[in-house]
Amino acid sequence: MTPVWIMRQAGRYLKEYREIRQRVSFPELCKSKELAAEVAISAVERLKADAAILFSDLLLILEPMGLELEYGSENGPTVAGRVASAADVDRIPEIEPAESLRYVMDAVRLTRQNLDPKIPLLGFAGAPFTLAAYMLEGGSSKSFVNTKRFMFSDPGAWNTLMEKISRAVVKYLNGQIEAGVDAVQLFDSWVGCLGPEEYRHFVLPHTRSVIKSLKLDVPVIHFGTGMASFLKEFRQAGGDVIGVDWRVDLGSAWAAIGRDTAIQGNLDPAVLCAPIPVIREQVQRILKQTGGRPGHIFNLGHGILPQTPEENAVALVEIVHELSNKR
Amino acid sequence: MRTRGWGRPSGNQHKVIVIGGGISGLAAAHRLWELSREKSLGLKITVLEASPRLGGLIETERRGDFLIEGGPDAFLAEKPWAKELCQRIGMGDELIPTSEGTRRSFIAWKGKLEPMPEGFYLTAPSGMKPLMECRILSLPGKLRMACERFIPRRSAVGDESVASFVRRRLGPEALQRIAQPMIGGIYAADLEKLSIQAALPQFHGMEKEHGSVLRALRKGGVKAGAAGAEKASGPRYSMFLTPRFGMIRLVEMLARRMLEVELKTNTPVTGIERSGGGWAVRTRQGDVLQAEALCLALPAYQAAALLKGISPAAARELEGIQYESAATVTLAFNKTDLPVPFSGFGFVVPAGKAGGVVGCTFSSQKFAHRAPSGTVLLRAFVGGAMSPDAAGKENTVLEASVRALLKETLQVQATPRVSAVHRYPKSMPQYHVGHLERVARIEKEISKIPSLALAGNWFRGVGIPHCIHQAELAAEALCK
Repeated sequence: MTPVWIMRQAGRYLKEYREIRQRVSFPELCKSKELAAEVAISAVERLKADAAILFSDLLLILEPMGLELEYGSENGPTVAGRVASAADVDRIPEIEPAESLRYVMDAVRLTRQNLDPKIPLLGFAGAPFTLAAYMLEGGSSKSFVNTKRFMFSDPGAWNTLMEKISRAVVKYLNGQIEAGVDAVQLFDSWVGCLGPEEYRHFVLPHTRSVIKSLKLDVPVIHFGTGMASFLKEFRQAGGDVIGVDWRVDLGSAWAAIGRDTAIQGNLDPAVLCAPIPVIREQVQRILKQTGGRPGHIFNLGHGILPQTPEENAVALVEIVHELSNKR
Repeated sequence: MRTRGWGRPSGNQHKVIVIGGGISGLAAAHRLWELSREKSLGLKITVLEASPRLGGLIETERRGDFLIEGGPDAFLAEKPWAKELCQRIGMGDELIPTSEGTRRSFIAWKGKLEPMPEGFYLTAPSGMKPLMECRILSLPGKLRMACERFIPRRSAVGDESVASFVRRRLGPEALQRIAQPMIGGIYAADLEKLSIQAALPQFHGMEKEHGSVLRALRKGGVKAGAAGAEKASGPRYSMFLTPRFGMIRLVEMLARRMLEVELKTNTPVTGIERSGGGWAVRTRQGDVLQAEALCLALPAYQAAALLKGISPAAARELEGIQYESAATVTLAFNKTDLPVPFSGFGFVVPAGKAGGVVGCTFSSQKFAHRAPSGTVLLRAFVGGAMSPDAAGKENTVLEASVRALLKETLQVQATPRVSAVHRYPKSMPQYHVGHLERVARIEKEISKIPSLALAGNWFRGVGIPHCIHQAELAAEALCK
């Protein structure tokens, strides 16, 4: 049976989550271990998914690194105190996540403690490139011009920045592993704005050093979006599982990364807003692409959309279990 | 970007560019502006600053009623150049001295704050009484210090480290327990490497002239030194001045006075080249600015990067000047949060202790107008050569180190009302043994290049007065 979980499975599409969010803000929810554990566990129970996901946010690591986060705007979170120069990079401190992100480790411990012991708990962090882009853009971007200008015009400062972020991510993920997560996912959500050569030159060595420095006993899911043109390089950076978005054919993506590596994906999140028969059809198509080989984790190609009907998400897990069980 | 200026539309203008908008760059630009007016030189002066703000390491922040200095919080009055500049730019009246009555400093020693005995001039006692009363030194240590007058002059000529000097003349205990925390704190330096000639020329001179530091101090051999040493203790706090509303006033008043000078922030310089008889300066934005003369008021390593293609020899020497990082952690408490009343300007911490905290200044006791009544404002300095990684730690860790130190020494357990961290990576030049010779070699190389001058805190003094002095000399050299 193909295991299935959903990126951002504890999210706005769930009624219970929305009710909690009426009482507390998003950062408050992340920083309260009780509430974070509650929403993570209730989501996995509601969906009957095969893994629980730590309730947290990619950007929280930027706070101890000296940036201020602003949630709640329409276009996603923004980051104040944008990094703009080599001097700004020098000013970024080396963080001690055990201190400043202790609330995350506390949430991991409490979630693990209250969760069905048979269900694995996934931790996660942003990959160096995506975090660097947040720091340089100050938020989401269409062109990533600030990131790329910095990368191309001052490669020395770029490497210093990527190394600083990498050290922070390693400490952060290893902290989550020590606190009890069973696997970790590294999100390179924005890496698709690069071409193969830029990825190889400016990103790959750093991501590879992060994955290599993680505690060995825990599987790593390395996820990116829009990197169909450099899947091989992406694979070279490391990861026991490669997560891909819906812009690639899962079968050929798997062939590209090699069958010795597991794959995760890749239903278009928008499909979950369509009627259930359509969802069923699409799941069928994806399972066909994998040819029933073990080593596939069913997932969406990106985070679940807030407007998704709750029952469709529940149906997705049922359909995946049902159809993969038949094979 | 902040751009300003309305130079006369005359064709006979001579363009001068100053790279770097810290106190050195601004003082250089200001001196150029003064000379241009005095001698009708028709200079068109531009300052290019990479960051969004002027002032460099000078950074004053207001948090409610608290006046927080991120960087330097005062300057020495004894060295005239800063005070004179303040008077010239019309802010002489703003300068305030350190507060009366509490001019003492302490050393964190075995979990307690021990007063620096009165009469200690930086590190050497000016008489037997202060020495004998000192609780930090053991009896053998004191006797060893007292023997200083019988130690012969050093026969070798040339520079030596401060550690070697103090060990030789005053003994290892004086080095470890007094000199390292006091002098090492001021220079953020490792005394084993710090040059006696560059950092403490007066001590070097005392040995040379009088054969003994103690003998020289007894005779009042250092001008103003002995007088200061009698009243205060430690680094003579009574000798400091600061603007009433913070050090940033110096930056603001300089910028305001030299109206015709163009001040461009957010303008990093990526390269300089010779062009005709002058210079072409390339900015990150891709502009190429022409100038007849150029002043580099930058950290030595940044000046080195720009000079690589122009004077490889000067660039190599500049690169040899090492820099350390620093951070300051400012905390405010209610007075009632301090179970043990503290009367003094601050305390220093022996090297390698307290997570890299080098010292702590009680800003609200050192100067008036820093904090509302009923509160105390204190500022810890973290980093330097003895704990090179400490200043790069995240805010939570820095604050925790300082609070642990305050808990140990002053039993302060309360949560601070205000907490602010300011970071100065690669900001503290290290005056290693041989520094003055190196600076002389750099000056020799630079003098071969027409219409170029350098300024900065890496020359012959790290303090504000020396920065200003060096910058004014650079401006005068360019106008010759």
